[in-house]
Amino acid sequence: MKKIMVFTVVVALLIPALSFARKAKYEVVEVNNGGGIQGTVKTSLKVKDPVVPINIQPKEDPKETEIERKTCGKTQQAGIYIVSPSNEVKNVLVIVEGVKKGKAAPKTDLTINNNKCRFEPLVSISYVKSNYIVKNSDPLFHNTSLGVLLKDKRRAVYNLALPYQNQEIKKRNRVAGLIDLKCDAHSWMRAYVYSSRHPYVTITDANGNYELKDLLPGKYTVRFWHEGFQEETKEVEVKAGKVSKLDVSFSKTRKPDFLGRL
Amino acid sequence: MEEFRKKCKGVIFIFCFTLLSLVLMSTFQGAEKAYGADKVETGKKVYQKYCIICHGNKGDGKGLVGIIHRVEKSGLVWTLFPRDFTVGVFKFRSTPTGCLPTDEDLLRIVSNGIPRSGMPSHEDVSLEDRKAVIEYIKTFSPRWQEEDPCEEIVSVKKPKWVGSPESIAKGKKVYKKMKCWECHGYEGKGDGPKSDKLKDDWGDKIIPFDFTSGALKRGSSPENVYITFNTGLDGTGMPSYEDSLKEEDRWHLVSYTLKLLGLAE
Amino acid sequence: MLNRFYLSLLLISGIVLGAFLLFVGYREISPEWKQYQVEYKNNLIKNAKDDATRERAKEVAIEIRQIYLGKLKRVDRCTTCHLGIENPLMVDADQPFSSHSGDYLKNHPLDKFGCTTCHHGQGRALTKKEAHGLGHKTHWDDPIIPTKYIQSSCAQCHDYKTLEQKGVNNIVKGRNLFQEKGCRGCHKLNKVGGDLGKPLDGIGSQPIAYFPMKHVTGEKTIYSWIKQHFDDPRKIVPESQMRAFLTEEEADLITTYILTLRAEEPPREYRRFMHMPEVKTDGESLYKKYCIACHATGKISVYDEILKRTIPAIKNPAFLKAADDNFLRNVIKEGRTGTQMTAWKISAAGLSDAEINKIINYLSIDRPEEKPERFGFADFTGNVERGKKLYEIRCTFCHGKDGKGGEGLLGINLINPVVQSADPEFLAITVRDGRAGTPMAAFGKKNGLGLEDQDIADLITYVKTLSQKKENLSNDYKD
Repeated sequence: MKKIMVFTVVVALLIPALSFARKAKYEVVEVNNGGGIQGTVKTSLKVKDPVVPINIQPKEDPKETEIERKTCGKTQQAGIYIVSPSNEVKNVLVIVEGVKKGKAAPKTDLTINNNKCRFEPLVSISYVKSNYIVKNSDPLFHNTSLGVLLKDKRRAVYNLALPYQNQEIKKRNRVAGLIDLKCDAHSWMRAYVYSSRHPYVTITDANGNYELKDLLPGKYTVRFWHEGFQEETKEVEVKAGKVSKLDVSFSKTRKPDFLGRL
Repeated sequence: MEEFRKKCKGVIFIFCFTLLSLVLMSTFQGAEKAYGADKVETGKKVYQKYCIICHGNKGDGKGLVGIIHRVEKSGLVWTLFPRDFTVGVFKFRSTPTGCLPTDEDLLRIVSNGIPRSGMPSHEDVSLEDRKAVIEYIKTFSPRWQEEDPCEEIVSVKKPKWVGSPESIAKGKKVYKKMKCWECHGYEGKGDGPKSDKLKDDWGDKIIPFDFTSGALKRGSSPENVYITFNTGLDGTGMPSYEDSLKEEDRWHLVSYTLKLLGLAE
Repeated sequence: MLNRFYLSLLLISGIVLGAFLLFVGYREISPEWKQYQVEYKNNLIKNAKDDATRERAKEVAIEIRQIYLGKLKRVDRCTTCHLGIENPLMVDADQPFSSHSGDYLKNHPLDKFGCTTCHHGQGRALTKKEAHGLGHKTHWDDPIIPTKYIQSSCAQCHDYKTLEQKGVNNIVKGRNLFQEKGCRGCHKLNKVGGDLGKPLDGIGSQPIAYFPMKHVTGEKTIYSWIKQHFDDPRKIVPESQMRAFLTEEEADLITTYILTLRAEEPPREYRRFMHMPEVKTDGESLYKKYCIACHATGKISVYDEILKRTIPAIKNPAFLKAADDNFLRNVIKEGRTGTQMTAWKISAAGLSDAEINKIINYLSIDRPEEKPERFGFADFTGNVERGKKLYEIRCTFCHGKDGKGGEGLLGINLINPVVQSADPEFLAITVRDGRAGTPMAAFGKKNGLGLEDQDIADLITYVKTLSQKKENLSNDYKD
C-alpha cells in the first residue's frame, strides 16, 4: 500500500521533470584516440596596422580631463594586424563549427580588464556556463557592453557600468557565439570573445600557429575569424589518432567595426 | 475490517491513477504546443491589424511608417526607430541586463504605449488580443526558445526618504562619483563630454536623456527610475549599475534624478 | 502734569528730533554728487603739473551741472558726477570720473546730445541710484542700458548701411538674425506677421508694466526681460509657445536689434538716415522671414513638444508631388484653423499675393518632375460606413478618433477647412502613396499596406464627413 503510493508520487514527480529536460546542445563524451587539427594562418596581403587617434572632450573639471588624457594617451596602436615577417597572422579565432559531441569544455572564468583605455586581452575564448570577470584598472569611468554578433545585428548580452578603479563584476556566460565588447565612453575600445559550448576553439599565436586536439573522428568545418580580414571556412576530415593539417591564407581585408565608431 | 481495507485500497488506487493521468496530460507537449499555436495565430492577426505598419512584416522595425522625429523644448531633434523584434533586445524590462523581458513587461508597453515616442497606447484592444500579439511577437526572435529565462526579477521597495532634501544632496554626490555627468551633463541636460559620439548597438546616433526636457519614456515615478539603474537599457549606452552601487545609493540617485526632472525640491 | 516722566520723555524726543534734523541737514549740505566733485577737485589740484593749472583747479566750482536739451526735451545732469567725461587725461581714472570711450563725443558733443539719448537712465536725477535706475525696486521705465546693448541707440538716427560701414555691427547682425530665424512667423511688425505672439512695434520703448517681470532674474528691466525671454521663453512666460533656439551671442544680438524698435523718433535735425534699409524680397528670404521658425528646413515632419502638434514637412518632395500650387496657396492664405498655422492673406497676417507666390515658388523647387498616378476619385462611390470602420483601424492611432490630430499624435488635423475642402483626388493620392520621409505610410497596393482603391475611396468619403454634423450623414455619399 505504502509502496504503491510512494511509487506513484515519485513517478508523478519524475515525469514532468523528464519532459522539461531539453535535448542537450552539446553532448559530453569520453574521447579516446581522437584526432587533431593543426595549422598556420597566413595572409598574402601587405597590411599596415593603423594608429588610432584619441580625442578626449574637455570636462568642466580640468583635473578630470587631465587624468583621462593621461590614462588614455593621445593615440593608440590599433593592434588589428599583428603579422610576422613571414606573413603569419596572430589573434585569429579558429572555431570548429557544428560540433555535437566531444570532450568537456573547461570551466575556467575569463577575465577582461579595462586597462589604459584598452580591453585586455583583445581576443579571447570563454565557455558557456563559466563566468566573465570584468575589471576596471583605470581611474576613470568605463562601461563594458557585451553583445553577440548575430547575422547582421548585435544583440546585447550585458551592459555593465564600472565607475571605480579596481572594480570587478562577475557575470555568468549564458550565450554562445561571437561576442564583441565596446565601451560607450571610449568609442575606440574593442575586444572579441568567442563563447563556446565545446572546447574546440583556439587562437593563433605570434607565428600564426594553432592546434586542436581530441576531436571525435569525422568531417568538420573550421571557421577562421579575424577582425581585419574577411573570414575563411575550410572543410577538414579528422581521423582517429592522426593530426590533420589545415593551413589557410587570408586574401581579403575588411574594415573592423570599431573604426566606424570613431 | 476487510471490507474497509478493500475500500481504502480502491480509493488509493483511484487516487494514484488520477494523479498519474493528470500529470501525463499536463506534461503532454503536443497539447501545450497546440494551445500555444492557437494564440500565435490570433496574435498574428492582431499584429497585422495594429503593429505591422511601424514594426514591419518581418518584425524588424522597418514598417511603412519608418523613422519618426520629435523635437523637444530645447530644439534638439529626437530620431525614433520602431523596435526590431528579431534581435530580441528591449529597453524597458524588469529583468537584469542581458535578460529577456517578462511577459508582463511586454504587456505593459503594448497596453500603455511609450510616452514621448511613436508607440501609442493600445488600451482599446482587448486584453486577450494584447496577450496573443505578445505571443506572436516572441516568435520573431529565436531567443525565446534558445535561452534560459532569467530567474531574478528586480524587486522594488521605495524607502520613505526618497525625494527628501538630504537624499537629494547624497544623490548629487553619487551622480558625480558615478560619472553620470560624462554623458548626461552636470545639469542633466544630456550634454556631457561624451554625449555627442554615442551610438546605439545598431550604429544609429543616440543621445543621452535630457532630464530637463520632460518626462522619462518609461515613466518618471521613483520606482521606474530605480528600475532603470538596475536593469540598464539594453541596446543603448545606458549600463546597469546593479553591481556598482549599493541599493541605498541607488535610491539617493533616484532622488537626485527626480530633482533634475523637476519633480522634487 | 509736569511730572518728571513726561519731562524726560519730552527731552529725549527733543534730542532725537534734533539729531535727526542735523542728520538730514548734513545730507542736504553734503549730497553724493558734492562728495564726488570735491574728490575730483582735490585730484585735479594734486595732479596739477604747474602753478597755472593748480590755480585753475582751485577755481573749479562745486555746483550742479546740467545740460539742457530743448529739442530733445531732456535735461541731463549726469556730468554732475561724471566730471571727467570730456577730459582726455581721465582715460585711466575710476568711475565716475573716467572719460568717454572712443571718439563718439567728437561727432556727438555733449551740449547737443547729452547722455541719456544714447545711454538712457534718468537724466534729472542727482544720485547714482536714481540716475541709473538699477539695483533696487524703483521700477523706472527707462534705466541705464547695459553696455552690450548700447549700439541699439545708434539706430535712432543712423541707417543700417552707414552703421555697418562704421563698424557698428551688432544691430545689423541682430536684424539679419531676426529676419533669418522667422520671428515674424508669430510676431507682427509693421502690421505684417503672425499673431501667436505680441506685435513688436515700439517694443523697445514700452514701459516696464508691459512685461511680466515675475520670473526675470537679476535686474527687472526690459533689457533683461528680452534677453531672458530668448534664453528660455517658457521660464519668463509659462504658457509661451515660442520656439527660440539661440546661442548666447545670438540672443544678445537680436536683443540689440529689438531695442531699436522704438515708438518715438528724435527730431529731424538729429536724424541722418542716408540709405533705406535693405529688404530682401526673394522667395527664400520670405520663407526665412515668416516660415522657418516652425517649419525649419521643411524636409522632415516633426512632432513638436512646444506646439504640442506635428509640424508638416512642406518642402518634402512627396508632399509637393501630390499638392499643386493651388493647394499650397489655399493653405498659406487661409491657414489651418485649430492649429498654430496663421492665415497669411493680406487681410489677416498681411502678405500680398505676390509675396505668397514667391514663397510657393521657393517651396516648389523640390517638386519632382513626374506627376502622381491618377486616382480617379470621381469614378468611385464611397461608402461612409465602410470608410468609418477602416478609419478606426488604420487612422485613429495617428490622427485621433475625431481626426483632429494634436497633442501626442503624429498625424495632422484632418478637420480644418483647408483639408476638408481640398480636392478629394489629392487626399486619395496621399493615402494611396503615402508621404515618403514622414510617418504617413503608403496604404495602397503599390509598395503600401495593400488597401484597394475602393477602400481608399471609402476612407476619403468618411474623412470628408468628419467636419459635418452627424445628422447630415447619408449612407451613399458621392462627391
